[in-house]
Amino acid sequence: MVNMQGTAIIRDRGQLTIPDSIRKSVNWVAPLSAVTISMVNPDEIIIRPHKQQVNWDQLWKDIKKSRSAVGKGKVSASEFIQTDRESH
Amino acid sequence: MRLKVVVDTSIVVKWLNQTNEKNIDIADKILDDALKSNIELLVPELAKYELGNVLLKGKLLTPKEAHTSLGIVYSLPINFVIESEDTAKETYQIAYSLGITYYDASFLTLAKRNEAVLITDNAKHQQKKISGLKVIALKDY
Repeated sequence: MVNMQGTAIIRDRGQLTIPDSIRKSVNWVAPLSAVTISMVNPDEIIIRPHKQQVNWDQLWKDIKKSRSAVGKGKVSASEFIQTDRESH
Repeated sequence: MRLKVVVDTSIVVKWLNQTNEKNIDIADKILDDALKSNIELLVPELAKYELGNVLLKGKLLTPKEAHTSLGIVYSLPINFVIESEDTAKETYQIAYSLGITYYDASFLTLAKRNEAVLITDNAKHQQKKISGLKVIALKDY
């Protein structure tokens, strides 16, 4: 389990600044990002990224379309990635 | 609590391209399990760059073809995780100890730090053991 801690002061109207060290570690703590805030215990509040609804029907259609593109490269993409990692 | 699963880029790419790929049906089962909320998918941010590069240099797709594939990357229910300084240091240690690339090690680190299972089609991952980390070959999922 990742366990990072930081200290912050709650300002007027409940405004809270997420510590820089935590903001650097997760990409969803960014300006204008929506978050879900849940109280799980009287002394514990959890902040999670707001989950966008996945349009699964559209996603599977897009996957089918993407897979239909053969391209000029005949290599296996998964094998290319392994080789690519070793070549840098 | 949903099972946390880190998937290697070798899995994610099967959701974009199927030419000369094995175990497509198993890769789809992983995505289906995410659809059913049985699992939570985590991937290092690095994977986005690997996917872009394989479409460009490996599959030689046209921009129009690649745009469809890249759009999927950003629609998938995946939490792409940015590397922190602590994670970077741990990844370096793992890579150094196991004699693998930093890229390969970044997936092991993410799984270890999140108490997640790593599912991979990458032989390098399957050959290396880290105490307390479960690595599953795609064919065995």
